[in-house]
Amino acid sequence: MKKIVEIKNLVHEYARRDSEGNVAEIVRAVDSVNLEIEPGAFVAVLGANGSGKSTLAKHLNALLMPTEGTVLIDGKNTEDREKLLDIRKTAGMVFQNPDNQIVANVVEEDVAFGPENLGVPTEKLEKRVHDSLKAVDLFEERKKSPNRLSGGQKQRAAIAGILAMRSKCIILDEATAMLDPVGRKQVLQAVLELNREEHITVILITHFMEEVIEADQIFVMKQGEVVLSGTPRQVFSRKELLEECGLTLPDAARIAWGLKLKGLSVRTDVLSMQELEEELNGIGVSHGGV
Amino acid sequence: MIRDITIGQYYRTESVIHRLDPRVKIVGTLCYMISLFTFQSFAGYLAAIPFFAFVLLLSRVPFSYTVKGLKPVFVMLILTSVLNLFWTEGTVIVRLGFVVVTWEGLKRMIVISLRLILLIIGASVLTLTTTPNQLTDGLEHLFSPLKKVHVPVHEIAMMMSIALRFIPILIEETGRIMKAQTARGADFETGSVLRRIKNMFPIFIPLFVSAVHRAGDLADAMDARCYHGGAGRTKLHPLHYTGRDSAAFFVLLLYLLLLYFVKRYIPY
Amino acid sequence: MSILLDHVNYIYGENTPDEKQALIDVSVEIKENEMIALVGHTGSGKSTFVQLLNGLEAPSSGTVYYQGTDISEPSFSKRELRGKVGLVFQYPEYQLFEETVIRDVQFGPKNMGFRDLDIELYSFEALKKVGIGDELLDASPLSLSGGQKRRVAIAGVLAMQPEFLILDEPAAGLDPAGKREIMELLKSLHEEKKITILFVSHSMEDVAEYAKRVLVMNEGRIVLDGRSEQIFSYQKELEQIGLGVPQSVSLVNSLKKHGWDIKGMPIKYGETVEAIYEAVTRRSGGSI
Repeated sequence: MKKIVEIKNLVHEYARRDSEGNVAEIVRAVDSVNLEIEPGAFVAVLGANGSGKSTLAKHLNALLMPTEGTVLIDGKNTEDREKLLDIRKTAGMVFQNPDNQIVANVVEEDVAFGPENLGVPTEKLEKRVHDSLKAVDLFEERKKSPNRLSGGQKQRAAIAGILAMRSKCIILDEATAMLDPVGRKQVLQAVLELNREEHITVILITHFMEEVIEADQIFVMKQGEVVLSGTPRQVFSRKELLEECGLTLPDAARIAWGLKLKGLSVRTDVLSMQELEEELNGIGVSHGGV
Repeated sequence: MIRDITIGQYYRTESVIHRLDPRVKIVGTLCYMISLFTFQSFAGYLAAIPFFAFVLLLSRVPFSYTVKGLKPVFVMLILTSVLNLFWTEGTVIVRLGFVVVTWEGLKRMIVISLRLILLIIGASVLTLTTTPNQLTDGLEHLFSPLKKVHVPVHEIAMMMSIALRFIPILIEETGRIMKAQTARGADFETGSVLRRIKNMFPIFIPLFVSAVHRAGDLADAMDARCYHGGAGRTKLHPLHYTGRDSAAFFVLLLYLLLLYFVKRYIPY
Repeated sequence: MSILLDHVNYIYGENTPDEKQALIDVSVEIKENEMIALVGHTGSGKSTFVQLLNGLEAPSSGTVYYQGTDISEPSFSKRELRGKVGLVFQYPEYQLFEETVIRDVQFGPKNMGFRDLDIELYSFEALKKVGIGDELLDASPLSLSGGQKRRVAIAGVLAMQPEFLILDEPAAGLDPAGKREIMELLKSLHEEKKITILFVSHSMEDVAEYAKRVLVMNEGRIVLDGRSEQIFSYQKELEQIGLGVPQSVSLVNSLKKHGWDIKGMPIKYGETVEAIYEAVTRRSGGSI
């Protein structure tokens, strides 16, 4: 099956200029990244601020061009100007700041913005906007001004705007970073449903560990490189490396690690408190029985 | 609430005028405004005032709302009235030292100030009954022939629409930055004019930085959603003329005819 | 030394269609040398609450006292109050405006009318405290990373030598390392400089780890006020208003419910690990 995302040896460099405008240094924001994503997958890219994860994200939408290497989206090279709209339509992007990505003054018109640009005829537009708003549970708010929405609702409106383009893939570029816990939950819930029910590929870029527990695969970035990849269990078992990357384990795994360091033989790759509790009950019983 | 500030104060209600196509309203307002300049007599108002009253009644906007628009031009109104009253030559009614009031002056004052008032409250009916979005849409359509001579009509309309979206956000942000600097002991209320202008820097600079930042973000977001100018763009709610709009044009025509006959057959 | 709110009400947009009572009969005292977390939903009144503490907003009714003086009295200097009760807004990096880091930090102390020598001293100290090195003093604030900007902004308030430091979501948007740096900074300001800290947070984990006292707001009221351990024993109540407790606390509560003998009410990470470890040891008869 064709990969939805295929990145080969991607390097992205930019020049940092001093106050006089001279090139002070060349910064390598993304360094020799190779990765492939299957259609329908739920993938997370983890990394601290400045790890290059957002730069990577912008390559997936052809907002940036590789310095070296290639990025293929659904088989199409992002450097191919002819395919630009096609690529952007395939891989929609939700950005960090909810306010700065809403274009129109009415929610439904903003959702329509993408397909309008693609020239979708009006009769079809209405249905797309309707369906997309329903999918993120914002239909009731369709006539409102975006300024009237909460942060979580604004991000869901942005997701609806991507759905209305019939994208195969949604990239969330730290889209939950500025939200409160309620908003964060809403947004995650919305993309998880889309992933499971509509088989839309989700690429979640974040530094919140709790958000990546359900991911099929995680890529961890540090200083522009992918230093670790695997399932959540595999990734969470690499405590030291994660800490070097400026990340922390989810709480359950953190407590498990604490117990292990004290000498208990517990599994440390637990994903939830429930799992940890079962694990602890297991230890209690096995030892209690002796 | 600050986020509800709308440019031109849209008055939200249900009316025939509200539902008219914005293009009809823009053209209608323009015709009406120009028509006010076509006569110098009282008689013209026999057509203009009833027409305005008729539209206002249909629009269900309270008269007091339209009058609000006069506030900013009040001084100008008084000034032109005085100038016309005292500086027109003709048959003298009153003479008080060097101050002379003439019949012609009195007539001119009434004609001109009535014209100004009708002009402004008439125009305000357009903004009171049309959302800024519809206005932008309407203007884009009306000016679209200018595209042929390479006027970026779509881009200008898009810019207006984006400005409308971000003005409330930036106003709110100004308030926030102002508070943050006040919390650092800044004072925006005392001192000389120069001092006060200087004191604004801690507000304007962050605001400017933020606006540039937002613009960059928005440009990315628009690119990401396949924006590539107006070519090939469709619309969720395209503008359509309906029977209602034809009727409106007909009424407008009636008004212009009425004005013509009034001018022609009533000499005052 | 204290800030006291006495039966404070705050009505937002009075006599407009959007009229909303943001604070309802709030009475609370913030004392010397406290470490307080303020939690609550978006829209529960937290932002209004913190702005009352330094006189940026005035109550619709009720009184705010600083050191026993009604701050609404005309003779009371609001500017001085803002120096004593430092308020750091959410995303404070957006308030930086000077050409250099050091000059931005000096803005507050200058407004306070301190002597030149003190202005310099306080600003250097504050920047040092937040971990901004000397090499960055003359850099443009715009050239810094997000976390650094945030710390410069906090230094700008610290340089006014406040006795109370109020922060609205100081860690919002930062990555785990940046977040820990900020929270550790608050902890050390509290412990070493004896500054009273009140921080707004959405992270129950941070609250458990760093606060000694917790104020819980819901729909304009302070619904819970007490020591952290006490507050987190109200798991059900907190969940009802959509806040909940730290995950580790729900683990401990669940273990207890299933017959585990866990002593006390551990809420911090270290305490939790220790308590569970001991419980496991006891359960297996010390034979691990």
